[in-house]
Amino acid sequence: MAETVLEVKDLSITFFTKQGALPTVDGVSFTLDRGETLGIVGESGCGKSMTVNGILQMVPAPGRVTGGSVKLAGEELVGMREKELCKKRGQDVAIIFQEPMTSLNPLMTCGRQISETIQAHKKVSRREADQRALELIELVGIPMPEKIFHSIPGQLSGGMRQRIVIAMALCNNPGVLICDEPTTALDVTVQAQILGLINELKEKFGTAVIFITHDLGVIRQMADKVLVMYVGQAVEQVDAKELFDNPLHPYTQGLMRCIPGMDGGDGDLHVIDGSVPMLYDLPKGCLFAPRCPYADDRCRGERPGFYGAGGHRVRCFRCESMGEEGSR
Amino acid sequence: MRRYLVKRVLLALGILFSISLITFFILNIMPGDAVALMLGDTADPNTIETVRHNLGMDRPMWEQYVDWIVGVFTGDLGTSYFQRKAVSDLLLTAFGYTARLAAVSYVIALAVGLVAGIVSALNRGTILDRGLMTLTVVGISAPSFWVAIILQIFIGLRFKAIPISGLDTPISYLLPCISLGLRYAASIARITRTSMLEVMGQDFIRTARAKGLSPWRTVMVHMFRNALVPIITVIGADIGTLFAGSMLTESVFNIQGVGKLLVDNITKRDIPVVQGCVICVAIICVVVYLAVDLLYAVVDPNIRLGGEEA
Amino acid sequence: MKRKREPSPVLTYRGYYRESWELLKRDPLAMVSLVIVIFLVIIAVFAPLIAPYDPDKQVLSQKLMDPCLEHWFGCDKHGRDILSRCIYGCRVSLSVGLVSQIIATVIGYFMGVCAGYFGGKADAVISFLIQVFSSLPDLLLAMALMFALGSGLVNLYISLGVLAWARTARLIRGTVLQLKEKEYVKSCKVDGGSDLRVILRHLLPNCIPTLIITVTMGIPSAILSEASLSFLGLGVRSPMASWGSMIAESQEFFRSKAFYSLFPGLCIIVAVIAFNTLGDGLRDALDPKLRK
Repeated sequence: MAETVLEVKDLSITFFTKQGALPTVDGVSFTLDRGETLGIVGESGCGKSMTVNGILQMVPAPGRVTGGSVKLAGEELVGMREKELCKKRGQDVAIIFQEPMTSLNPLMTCGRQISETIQAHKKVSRREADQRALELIELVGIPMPEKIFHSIPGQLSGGMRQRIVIAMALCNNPGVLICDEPTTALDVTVQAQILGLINELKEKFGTAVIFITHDLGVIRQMADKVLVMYVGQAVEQVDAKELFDNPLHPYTQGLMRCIPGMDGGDGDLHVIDGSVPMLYDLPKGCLFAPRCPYADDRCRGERPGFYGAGGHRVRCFRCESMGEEGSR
Repeated sequence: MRRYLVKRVLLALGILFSISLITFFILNIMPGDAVALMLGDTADPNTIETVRHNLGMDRPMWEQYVDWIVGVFTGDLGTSYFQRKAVSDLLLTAFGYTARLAAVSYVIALAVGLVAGIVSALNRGTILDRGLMTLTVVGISAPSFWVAIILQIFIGLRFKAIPISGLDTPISYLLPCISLGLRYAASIARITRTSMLEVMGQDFIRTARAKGLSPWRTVMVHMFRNALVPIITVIGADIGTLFAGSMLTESVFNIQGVGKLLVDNITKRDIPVVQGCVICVAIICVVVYLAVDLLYAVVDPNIRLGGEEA
Repeated sequence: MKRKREPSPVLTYRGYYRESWELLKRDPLAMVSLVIVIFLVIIAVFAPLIAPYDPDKQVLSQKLMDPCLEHWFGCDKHGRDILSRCIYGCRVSLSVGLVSQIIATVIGYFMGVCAGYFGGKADAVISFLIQVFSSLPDLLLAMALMFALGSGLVNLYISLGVLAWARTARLIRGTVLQLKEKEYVKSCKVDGGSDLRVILRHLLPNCIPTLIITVTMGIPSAILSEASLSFLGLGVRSPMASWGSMIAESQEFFRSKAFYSLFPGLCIIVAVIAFNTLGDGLRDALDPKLRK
């Protein structure tokens, strides 16, 4: 039995705006074991990144975690004092953000940005922290680490900067590493290198990874299990292999068909009809019903729960026959 | 970096030269009055002509200018028409007062303004923020000489321990420094708040928080440091006008600084003194702007190391 | 210099100003200040009708009279009604603000356009001049000019106007540099349009939002400069009433007559706040970059 490092249960995040209370993340649950990789996939604005903010307890105003629990190595983070949270962030859970161009402080040398993270969590001298930072820069495959150590982000390419961000995230051996679309802003060739690096480091340190992306191809390459999100809700949760062999939710099926060559089909590019509903104007029934080719009156009038069997959870009435699956 | 430095210094010298040229000609357009004023109403035209000749005022303007500018380089700013003292001596005494007044006022204003701006930004939208920002609007809009008089009336006359003129004891700095520093504190607070808010929304602040840095370190090292460039621009522009502003404060509180010297002599039309004061302030301004340009390079390594503009 | 927002080019469709107006209407602070500005303009224009007394009439028996029902703001050292003098002072302040800004705008626009449009040597010379003029504190240069020209209202217009052009020129130069790359400007040049035609037909309408903002923001600083100059005795000629000169006159009586200094100063603050706040609102409403 693998050791569970992160357990998220019914996490809900609501934004309180002039248009009303917007359920940005609505009852998302999952668990993550040591060394495991969870892929979260969905269109932009579906609440993937906000889920991550919820895990770190860093939801920006006017949003708030309005329910659920986040247990990091058994410790509850929801409602934890900010001072305690600071000790967790960067130490037990680290994050790599999407934009390497802007997620580094433009006025601070790369080396210092890594070593200050070490010093924030360990009582070590500046010299020791710098030494460790230098080793990390070398570890993430950067040539001439000394030179890069003293560079500012403005002098580096996107791929280089993302390597620095990775070094920074890993500098305290976190139990959980969250990658929020780490390669979206990069060239395809660089993207492959970075993905390879993350996989390699994951093996080396036994880190559990949450990998967020809108790219199913990347998911197939990286993830052990997958959570598909649509407008703040999880719509399908299953092992990666099973997902690609047997996608059950119409939305997942649609996503798969959107990828050229993924379906092995006719080569035509498929599009999901309609558009994502606005959070302040959600449909009464299933959130995907307005765009779903199989939707019937029940779908339009009633929200489906989770159904499925054998660890395959689907939020769709069509899978009702497979049996009821409460949240694990 | 060296090219940047050389370019800035040359530009500063060019600006200084142009300012001296412009002000010299403005001030010497109608020099006749001064002599007439000096000799009084009873002087006959011949005497006036002789005095003008003795003072070298009948020579072509450009010759007078060359004489004067050569003098500036050797530290000789001419002699006062009325006081029979070297302008440089008058300036030197006066400058001590102005420099002390300006320095104390500005340092206090800077401290108050930065703290108020940071506090305001961190508490955006709260009553504290709104209150502080309302105060800054009043601070920017109130003329300093009026603030000075109001302070004299409502504080100086109430509390006998606080003097309402001069600049001799530490306590006598209180009112002049408030009246001179108020608008600077206000403008620094506003730009600090704006700049901090801009930085707060940026990705690397999220990174800093996600790294688990303490809130203090996040605010001071990551936010404030990055918010500094616009603040320095404002500081540079402020220090120039600080000397102009101190003219008003000095004349209300009767402080014998450069400003008071200038105001007193401008009405007397004592041109050498006026000229000396103006060029003195101009030199200070240009040096400050130069210093600010160099400070950019210190604060922003993108300029120093030639990285891309971030 | 870095801090200055360089306004981006603006589409010259009719709805632009309507949209800006809609935005401005939604900004309560800007609307309040607009009302105050209109109120001040009315006071300035109709001063003779509004002022209860002749501002220059000296009644020795009313010397330094405290505020009362007949004289709300009291009377000054010559027994003149302070309220009436404040009302006429509003005329001086607003006219100095407006006229000096018009002068500054005309000079600044043409300098800025020449620099931005022709580039090269013209740009180098004008940019240098802009730097020279922004290196000296405005008040100091204004004092020197007033010293040379002598005091008086017209000279105030001239000195404050001549000095304020640099800021306008810098902003216009930035705007024109961006506009120059636009297709419709290029195509007009290719079609053989003269430079003057491009400057007046295509550049001017696009610079108007920038000009509205600089004028609104320039007026309060001109008002403050006028008050300071008049306070130092280099502004209006006595007995003309100006808020600054009234404060200067009140100075010798500060021990006993607080009201004498108080009211003209409050007038300055109200006017300057109103114009500054309106300027902020206009900038937000007219800057397309801030539009969502």
